[in-house]
Amino acid sequence: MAELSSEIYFAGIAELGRLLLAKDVTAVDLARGFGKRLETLGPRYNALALPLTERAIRQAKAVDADIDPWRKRGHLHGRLEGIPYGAKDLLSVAGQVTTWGARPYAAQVFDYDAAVIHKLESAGAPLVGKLAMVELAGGPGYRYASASLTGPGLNPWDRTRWSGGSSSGSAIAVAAGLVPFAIGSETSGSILTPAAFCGVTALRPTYGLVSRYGAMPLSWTLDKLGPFCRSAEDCGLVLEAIAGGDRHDPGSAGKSFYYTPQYARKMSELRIGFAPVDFNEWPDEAARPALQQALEVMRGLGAAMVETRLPDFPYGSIIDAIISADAASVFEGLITSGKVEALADQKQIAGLKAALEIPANVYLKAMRLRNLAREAIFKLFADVDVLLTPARLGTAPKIDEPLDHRPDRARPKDAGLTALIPAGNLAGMPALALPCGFADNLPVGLQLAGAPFTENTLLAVGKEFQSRTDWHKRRPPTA
Amino acid sequence: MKITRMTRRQLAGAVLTTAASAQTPPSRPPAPDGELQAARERNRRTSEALAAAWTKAKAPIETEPAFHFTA
Repeated sequence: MAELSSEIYFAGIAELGRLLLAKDVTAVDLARGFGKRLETLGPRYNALALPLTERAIRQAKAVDADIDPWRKRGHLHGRLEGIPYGAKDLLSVAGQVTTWGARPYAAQVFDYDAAVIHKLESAGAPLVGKLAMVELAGGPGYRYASASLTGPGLNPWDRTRWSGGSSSGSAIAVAAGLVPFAIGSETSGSILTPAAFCGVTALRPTYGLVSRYGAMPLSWTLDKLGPFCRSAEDCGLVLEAIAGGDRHDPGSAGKSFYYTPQYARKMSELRIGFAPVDFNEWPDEAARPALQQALEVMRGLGAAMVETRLPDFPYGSIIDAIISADAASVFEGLITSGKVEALADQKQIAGLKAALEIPANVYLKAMRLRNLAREAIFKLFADVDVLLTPARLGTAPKIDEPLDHRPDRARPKDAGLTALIPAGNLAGMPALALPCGFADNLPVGLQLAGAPFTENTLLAVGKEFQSRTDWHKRRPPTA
Repeated sequence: MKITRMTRRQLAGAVLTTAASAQTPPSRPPAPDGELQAARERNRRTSEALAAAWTKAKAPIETEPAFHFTA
């Protein structure tokens, strides 16, 4: 077995593919190396839910057997062949425990693979472990980072800080070089937030582009699965493998995705919408310099920068009502049986109980307003191709800090695009999180969002940004 | 070593004050019953915000919910 160098643990998918093609490493080397690293370092960050190294090595052996004929052709069968990955523990893997991050489901085992697990297996990617998450993907809301069966997700850049959630382990594992890529999920912010706090690139695909079959439901019309990676380019490669129609997912759009950077529009043809207030007034003081410098890099790409703002809707209230009502329905048995009391977070427990009492007219009002909001948001795309905001307005909070505590400072009158996370999720839009600097030695990130099915445009802008910056290549000091 | 003398009443008061402050750390979450009330209150505020937005939107009666089902 070849000993893997530290460089390999932070290499991108293309680089790992080159090493496999050149026989510098085998798929078994990668599966064993990343698997052992995840087992060793994952618990240090509370990132690991279930190690699957032996299973991954078995998968990798089959890949190695398949690679040789392809080497003669000068390329591998597929871009993800032999590339190990981790999956958020809300995805079922046949015969393995799938906890959904929650004590009441600690012994839950499904007899089938989630669609994304199946697709990645078909692509030749060995699954080295299930990754930690906030219990029930956050449900209707939680107060503390400790709202997880595996404890609070600890940030690889500073273990006294939170990783963000609910896809905590997915972001941590990529940031700390424990896996080359990971799959997470987002209902409202669960991909973008941990990506920003941990300094990794991540993509929330358009609603319906990736099948959720075999994933824990939280909100049927909002749940999405997406990749955490080392770069925008890697996100494109993983999305191509996991996207596609699925009759098992009622929300499936029935579309495939092909990552086509070679056909990307020129930056000079694009219009990037932004709100100056998002960079000058809304962020925490410490985060502003990094975010403003990132805005300047974006200006330098050659795209037209267009000032814009979101239409005026109570996005937070709309999405809260929908998620709460859906979650109460999904977990009604858990709530009424009293097993809900075994969850870790008191706010989550109370939120689920209270959500059972939400009247139908409130839920339907939220869903009707959602339609109005979606129509109004889509009108923005007559004037812009991409929306740009900070992914989060500050850095990762301290591990024991209440997450629902808001700093006592005056809020700017202009809302700008600050509600883009709930607004984008309500409208089913894709979004890309990009590391863009540091504040107080903690990562800061940007969010790019676009109209549905414009992932290639977001990835092109992200790739161009990352060709001019190296934030996505930085490594945490402890890794 | 300096010894501070206290009356029984002063001692009882000091013990009670210490115990009380230990039980009520600053900015702790509400007790479970309080949590449920707080969650209901959040739902009430959400409902009010939605009602206000609905009134402001003057949406036509045929505005449908954002459901999307495929057959």
